[in-house]
Amino acid sequence: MLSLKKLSTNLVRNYGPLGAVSTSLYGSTSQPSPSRPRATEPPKRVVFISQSTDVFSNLAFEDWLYKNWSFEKRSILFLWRNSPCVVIGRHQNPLVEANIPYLESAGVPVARRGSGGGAVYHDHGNLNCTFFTAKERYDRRQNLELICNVLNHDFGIQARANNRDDIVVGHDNKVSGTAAKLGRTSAYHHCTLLVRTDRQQLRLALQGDKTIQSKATHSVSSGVANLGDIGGKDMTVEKLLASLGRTFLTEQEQDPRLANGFTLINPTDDWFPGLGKIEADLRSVEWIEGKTPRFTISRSVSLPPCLAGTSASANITVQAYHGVVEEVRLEDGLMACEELTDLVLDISTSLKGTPYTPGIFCDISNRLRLPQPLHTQRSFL
Amino acid sequence: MARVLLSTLSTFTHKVSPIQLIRTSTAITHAPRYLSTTRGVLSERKYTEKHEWVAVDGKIGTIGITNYAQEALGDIVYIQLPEVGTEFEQMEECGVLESVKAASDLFTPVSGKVTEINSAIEDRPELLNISCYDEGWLFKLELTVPSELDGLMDEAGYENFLQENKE
Repeated sequence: MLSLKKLSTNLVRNYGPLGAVSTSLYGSTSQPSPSRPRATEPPKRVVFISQSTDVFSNLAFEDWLYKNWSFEKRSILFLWRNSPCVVIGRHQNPLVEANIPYLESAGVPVARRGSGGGAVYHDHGNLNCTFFTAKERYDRRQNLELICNVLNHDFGIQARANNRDDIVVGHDNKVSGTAAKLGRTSAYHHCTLLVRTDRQQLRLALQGDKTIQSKATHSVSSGVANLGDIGGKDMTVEKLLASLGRTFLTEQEQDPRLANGFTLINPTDDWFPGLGKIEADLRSVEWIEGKTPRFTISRSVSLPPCLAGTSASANITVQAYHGVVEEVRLEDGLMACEELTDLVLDISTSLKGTPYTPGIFCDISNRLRLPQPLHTQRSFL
Repeated sequence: MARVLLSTLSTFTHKVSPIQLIRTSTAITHAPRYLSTTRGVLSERKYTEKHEWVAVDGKIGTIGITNYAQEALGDIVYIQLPEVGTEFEQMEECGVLESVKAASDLFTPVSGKVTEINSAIEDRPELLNISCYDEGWLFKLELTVPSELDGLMDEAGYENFLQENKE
């Protein structure tokens, strides 16, 4: 588990005041006050490091900064790590991208971020970097080049950004995926960096249900690699974090004293009013499931003898939008008996508007078995 | 000018009877009055500095993004439109446009209540790149503060704005 206090003392020891942590949280070394910047000067660079490993708090902080800060005079690099979790893109379908039953049983949360792109698995061996800029200064390639330079110069790893804005090493093994969010005046570009991630867990977590038909944005899967395997046992997330932060701060500044140093962030509502509400929204069903684009899923459901005609099973399709059932319909309806068609119509009417759950086909199967007893009941009355 | 008058006249002739047509032609000398009453039919587009457009027809405004915006975004892969019936204030976030790995917030140029969304574009987001002023319209809303239109740029103004910002 990362000890951030230990990290901060290490930074001071190894990198001097430039890499020093300075916040009121620790009341430690104070930075010299920067001279007033002229209007034409490039934006001051600041590095934030999160003290939290909770994906929802960190995503909430990202969103909070994006909505509440102006980046005309400052560019921010936010560095953060999460406990094991899966993060899907803004318009993805969690059922398609992740192995939901497996993750639920393992207690691994699935979060939806506000930026586009595909699904990723995070754990303590993965480092996330978010570059905040004014919208006019949004430049993904520039950020990726900075990262590749750090990997090349500080760790001797030959990394490059490909045309999909993934960072790859060797024969196209992916070590980083990218996504971005653009607003009216601000923008952010964030990416993952696999250093010592559990690749087996990554593979298991991202095995979703590919039979689902939908317009949701799909992930493009690729072979992944850990930077730690290539850079040797000296390569750790902490070292990469420190290198990235230091390079980000010193890259453009002529006078290093203008750089503000690293700042530790505690992403809670006490420190950032309004963050609590953003976090609650990110955890909500309305966001995680409710932003799922329209999808249809078809399954073969076995029929009870009274309904089975030429076939002992029927293809049932469930259509859902924003996590809510829109329609349940029978495929190959012409082959079915009238009773089955009517029953499926009834089921569709009663399930319409209810939340979609993977157990819905079990529910439909049960309802299909009900007719016999119900008919006899009705005839009594 | 003459061409504009002629087109105004032809618009009228679709809808009026011969008797009204005589009355209309004698009233052509009052051209400015007729031009102003037909403005709703011409539905002139207005633009924002953030490259959204609105075309008004009576009380209903159709919203879209300009060619500059769709080019800057790149290939659109998914469009999240607002729900019908939702009310928005001017410049409020009302949807999301996703192009390759980047989600761009969509902001409404005018306040109003959403009356219709372009479901064709939900199924075929590429329409926004191909035809951003026509088939790639995003949604329609009933304007609640029509005076907001006065603060937006007309086509000439927007062209100027693009030129100025190129330098």
